[in-house]
Amino acid sequence: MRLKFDPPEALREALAEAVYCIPCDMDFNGAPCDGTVAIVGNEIRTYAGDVLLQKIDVSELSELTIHLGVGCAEFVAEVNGGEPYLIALFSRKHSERFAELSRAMKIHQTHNVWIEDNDENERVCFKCGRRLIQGSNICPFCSKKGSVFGKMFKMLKPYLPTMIFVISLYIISSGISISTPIINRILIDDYLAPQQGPLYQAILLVVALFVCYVSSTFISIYANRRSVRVGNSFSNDLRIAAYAKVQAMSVNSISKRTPGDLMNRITNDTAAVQGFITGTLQSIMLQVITLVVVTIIMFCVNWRLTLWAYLPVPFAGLLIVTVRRVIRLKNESLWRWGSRSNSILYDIIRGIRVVKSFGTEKQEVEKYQKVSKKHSEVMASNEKLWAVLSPTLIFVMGFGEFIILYFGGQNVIGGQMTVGELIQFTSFLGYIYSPLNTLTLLPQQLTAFFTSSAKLFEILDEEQDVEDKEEPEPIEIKGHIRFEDVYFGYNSYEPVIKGISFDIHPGEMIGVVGPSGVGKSTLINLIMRFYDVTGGRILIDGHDVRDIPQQTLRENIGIVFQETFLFAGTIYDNIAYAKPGALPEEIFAATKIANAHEFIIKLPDGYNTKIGENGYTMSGGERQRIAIARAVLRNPTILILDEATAALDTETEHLIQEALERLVKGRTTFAIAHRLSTLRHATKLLCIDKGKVAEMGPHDELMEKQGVYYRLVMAQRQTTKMATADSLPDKKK
Amino acid sequence: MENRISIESLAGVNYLDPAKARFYIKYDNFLCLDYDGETYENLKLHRAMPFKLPDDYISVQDMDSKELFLIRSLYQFSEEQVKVLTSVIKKRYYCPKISAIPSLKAKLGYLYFEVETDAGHKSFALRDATHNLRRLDDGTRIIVVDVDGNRYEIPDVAKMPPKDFKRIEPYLL
Repeated sequence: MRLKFDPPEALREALAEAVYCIPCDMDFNGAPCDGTVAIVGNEIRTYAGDVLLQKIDVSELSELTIHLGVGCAEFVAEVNGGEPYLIALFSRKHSERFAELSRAMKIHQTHNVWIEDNDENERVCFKCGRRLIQGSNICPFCSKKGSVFGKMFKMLKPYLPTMIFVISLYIISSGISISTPIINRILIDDYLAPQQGPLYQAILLVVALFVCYVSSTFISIYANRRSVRVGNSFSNDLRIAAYAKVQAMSVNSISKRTPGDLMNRITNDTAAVQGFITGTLQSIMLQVITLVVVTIIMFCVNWRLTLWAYLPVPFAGLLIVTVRRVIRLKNESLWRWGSRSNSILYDIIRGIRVVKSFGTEKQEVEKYQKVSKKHSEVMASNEKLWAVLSPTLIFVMGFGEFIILYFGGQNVIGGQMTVGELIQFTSFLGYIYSPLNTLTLLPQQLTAFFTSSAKLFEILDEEQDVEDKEEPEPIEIKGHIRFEDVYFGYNSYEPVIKGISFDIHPGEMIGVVGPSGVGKSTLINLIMRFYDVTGGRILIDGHDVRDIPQQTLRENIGIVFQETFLFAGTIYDNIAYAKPGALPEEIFAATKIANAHEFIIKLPDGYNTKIGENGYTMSGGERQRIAIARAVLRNPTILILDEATAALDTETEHLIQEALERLVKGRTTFAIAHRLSTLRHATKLLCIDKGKVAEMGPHDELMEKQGVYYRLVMAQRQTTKMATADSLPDKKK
Repeated sequence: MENRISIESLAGVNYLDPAKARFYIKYDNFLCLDYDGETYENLKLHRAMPFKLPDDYISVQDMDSKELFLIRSLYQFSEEQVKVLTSVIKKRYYCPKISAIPSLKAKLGYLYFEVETDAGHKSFALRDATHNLRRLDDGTRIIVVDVDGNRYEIPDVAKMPPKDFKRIEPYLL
């Protein structure tokens, strides 16, 4: 991240030697200002405008922290062994930069060097200065539309021959269709109006007309069928590519987007792209070709009349350009109100038991009525606009026909034009106005296509933030886990883990305890390598987790969460999820260890019982035991239990505890629990507080110490009335 | 029913008695409190209802975000004390007021704003307008939260220049 910006004019001299110089937009009173925070020599200085507010030697500061406010944040430290010291106050826009400054200052304090800044992780488009959205490196204003077409072309390559064939068929069909007004003209001028020429020739022309209509229709039908087939195959490719990419993305990248957003990209955006490529694009090409060919023919017949025919076009274009923005905004509003109305419905139906139990049906109806009314108002306003716009456009374009009839009629009377030519001319009008009408919608369709394509390519082109090493060494995991001064934060300015170190030997069980929100589950995320550490390293059997292939790492880890997720399918499928192709004997062994076999075998459909919608509804304990069986089946070297029994009643917990006791034997186990009794087999207890290791050691040692762990135990004794010391965590050797 | 114990008496919320409290600033920028013979240092203030009742129900918390007291209303305090408290609140809640929206562009589902505020010209991006453009009160007061977590307020959207109102209207629910 960039830390060295040009100082403001007034400070140019004072900050000529600055190591870092970053803008800051608030003064110490919380008022907006053009401020600057700079490191000069070993001093950190804070300016409001050109006024120096304070300066202090960096070495005097400790506990450098970013505290988040609402819409702002502060960079604070401690001086003189504990007094708070405010370094800067700024809007949230600068949070990440100050977090980086804090990191640089810490490195300077320990290594006496100032790190080089760079433009990596900058969330600003260097071309236009606009903010980039987190999780995206594309500036929607600066991404080249050509590049989107280029990428799309690459994906379309296998389908190009079929597409060219389809377009050629459309051109042939259109050509045949264009020839009908010409045949009409010959029929009228040469055979019908003067009633001359042999009848059979006239009949032949009528037959030719018929053949033209029929062949054009059949060619179109065939081309449509081929086009639909290509479209579906292409959109299937796109959907699969997007889905595969989402599967390959890190938890970090996925968590930056909502499930709805990802689903939209995989389903709606691929559909929109398909619609454009196979529908709009082909139709546009066809219309443009028709327009050009017909215009040339019309020019050859009568160039003056052709110019008159084009007279209404600029007016219609002007009308469309004028209302286009209004239409787009109205559509946007309509979409929003529709979506709001749907989400209220969804919410109420999902929570219908709560609504009924609190007797708030009437309020909910009123709430929905209000939104539904607004939705219908917006819809009415939208439709009113279309109700006026469409006939107006038809009227403006139709005006051309009057002009042609007037001037064409004069030409016919004056003898410069035949009746057949005039009829041919008016028939051609349809051929030019129809493409023109379609082309007026082109900007809107192009925008929709580019929006959907850019969103898709944003996913497809996204760089992996948790990547495997190019040629990782295959290793056999034995289960030695070592944290070395590990730092991590989901946001760079909010560290969750602050310098944690510990060692777990193969076969040991470590119990992680501490209040909620101190970073216990984050430790699991780091061991699983859902995220990469921001400082320090995690070693498994002496290898940095970043050097171990993710597949190998996760294959060796079995995890049971507090909230169990089971997929729609049978109990058997859900357990076998951990090891596709597992033999029934293996599944039974796993369910036996997990204390699940007994309840499954009693079900009428046994292991083939369907779970979920229209299937068997399991209790929390049953679901949890299935999840344990799933973890067991993998026979992992490392077992992670994240509050695995927290949501269960005592009896079920006892059953599951029994299962877990069997499971942890001989495996490195990492267990998080609020109920301390569940950790009675732990070799060591790791007590986490505010992202740091507060205490570590066996139960007896920590109890003697009477620190954080002791207080947790005592508090739990009081609340759960666990009266005797024996029922409390008791390390068994 | 009349004898039923009120939930307020059960909850044990520690309301601060203004008569016993004296807030002051120490170490230049940090809030401290002398209360009933005790001294509390480096305190934070959190509004319980920042939109509806910004001056009432203010939580006094220590550095570990543990609530020590709840202030019922700032108006219970002397003018000098209110000054101290509002100066601290101002540093925690930063929300420039938008007076004009010269440009608003929608791209790839995100909104890009150029706005004039009481803190000068600002440009920012917004994700998910449904959640980050919030109508408050009677619907004319709007809170905007950008991708960085910065907040902006439109005190009365109906009083904005008509062109600017038209720009934002389609995105308001």
